[in-house]
Amino acid sequence: MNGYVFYIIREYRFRYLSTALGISLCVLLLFFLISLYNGVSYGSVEYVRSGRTDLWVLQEHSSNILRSTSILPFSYMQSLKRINGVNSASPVFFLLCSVKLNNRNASMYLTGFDQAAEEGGPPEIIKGRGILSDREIVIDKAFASKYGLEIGDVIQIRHDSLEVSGISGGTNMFVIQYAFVSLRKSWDIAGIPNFVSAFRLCTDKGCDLASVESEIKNQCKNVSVFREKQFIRNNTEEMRHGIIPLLLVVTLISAVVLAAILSLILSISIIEKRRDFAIMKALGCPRYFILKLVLRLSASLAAGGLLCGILAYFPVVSIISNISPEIETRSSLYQIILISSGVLVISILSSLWSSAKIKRIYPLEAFKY
Amino acid sequence: MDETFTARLDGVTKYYNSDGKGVAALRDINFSARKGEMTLLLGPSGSGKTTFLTLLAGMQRPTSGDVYLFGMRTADYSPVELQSMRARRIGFVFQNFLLLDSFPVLQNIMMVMTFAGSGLEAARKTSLSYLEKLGIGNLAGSMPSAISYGEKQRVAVARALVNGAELIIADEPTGSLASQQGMKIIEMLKECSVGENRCVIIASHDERIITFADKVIRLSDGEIV
Repeated sequence: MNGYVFYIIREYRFRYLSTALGISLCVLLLFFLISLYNGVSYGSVEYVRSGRTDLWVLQEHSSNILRSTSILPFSYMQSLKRINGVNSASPVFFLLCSVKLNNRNASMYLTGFDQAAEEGGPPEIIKGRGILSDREIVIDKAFASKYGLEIGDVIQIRHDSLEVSGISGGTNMFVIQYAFVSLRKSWDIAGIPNFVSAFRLCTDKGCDLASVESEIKNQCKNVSVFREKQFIRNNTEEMRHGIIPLLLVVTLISAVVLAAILSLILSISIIEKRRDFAIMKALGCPRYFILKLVLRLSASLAAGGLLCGILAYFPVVSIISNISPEIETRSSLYQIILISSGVLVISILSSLWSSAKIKRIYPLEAFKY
Repeated sequence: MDETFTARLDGVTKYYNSDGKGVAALRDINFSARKGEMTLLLGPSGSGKTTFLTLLAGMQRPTSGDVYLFGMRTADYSPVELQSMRARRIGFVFQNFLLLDSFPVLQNIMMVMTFAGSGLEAARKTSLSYLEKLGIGNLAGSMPSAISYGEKQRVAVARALVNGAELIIADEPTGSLASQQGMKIIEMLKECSVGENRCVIIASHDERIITFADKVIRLSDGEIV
């Protein structure tokens, strides 16, 4: 059977080659979108996930740091530290900030943190070091690459000049990137001292978190308290709500295009091969022989397209990353399996849909030719 | 199951519906054919020869009357049994040979063996031996479009015989061939009936075949004359 499929493909090699290329483009797009989603997912939530934070304290009705505003008085810090079971409290202040770099407008998600506190800084320093003074800043890897910034370069934010002391990883949210300065500097930039966005709390081992939460709400007015897992979930969902609808629409379009390409090509092949299929039926070919032939043809085209798409993915992503460093992708074997299964299912459905025509080919037709 | 006759038609009439009116393709046909016999259905085009053959092969059913194949009414066979019978017990030689142009000569022959349930390796060996037997073993890898008419003729015969078919049905096998080539295929088919004890039924308008046939049936406007 495989041999017969090989001969059919060989006969119309240019057509099938272009079909496989079309499939590979769809696969490439699907693979890229899923990798992009994973990259954004990682970059958006890695800051929240990093370090050890048992409880997050935010302003009441704020549930995440990505798309909700939270402002709390810095003075809560002392109250929080005094609560039984709280080991440490790290204040963080988030600020959307516009800067001008090399005559280009840039935005950053400026994060002010207390260097003396345990948490709040960059999840990972991949080059240079963290900040040691108020005149330093740590910027994201993609941001640095996009604007050609290196360690020691100076960034002008409002009236302050900040020197890049380090470059961080896990801080790229695709649409915007984290940057880290001292808490005092973030207050200067915002012009509102003694306010923070959240407190990251570490508790004593084995303490009763429920009673700590309750005590926080008694001591500090109008706050929301989230446990680590819940807070990560809140931020992940917030990120997903923003990107998943777009991703789903483009994925659906790719899948429909893929199914359309395959169905069209298979239908044309069946119409063109009508004479041959009628002869086969006259010669007594078993009921499912032609259907299997079409299924294998479809699977061969899908497999060829899949292989080309996956092989093309890595160089294409490398080119895209050079052009737009903020586009961070993360690929895995699981994605390859997921996409391969999806393409296989589409190829089977396309061949079944096209194969309806086979039923209407009769052995009697062989006597007409 | 009485297998005295390989194929038999008892009072067979076939109407085709055209614009709501029945057009008779065959009328009250009685016919039988045995192994070792070569029968010629002679008649001009439109006389009902092809309808006769397709009824015999169980590809369509008569409007009235009965068609018997290998001792059993074709109406009693299921569609799957008819398909299997065409693959295992009936060999076809079509007008213009109708080889499958996408596949090499060897695959054209092997394919009918796989239809009959043979494994690929067995099909390859048997097909090659048939090609050798017909003197065209060197053409196994050639595409049908690259071989001559005479060679196509032999491939078509090899395809009809390779499964050991008991009944060979040939529709206008000399149709578009020059006289010498045309007679060559008839000689091959005659050899099948006499030498290999097969039942051969040929539909043709070519009167030259009469000398080879054991039995001649003349058809005109769907009736035996």
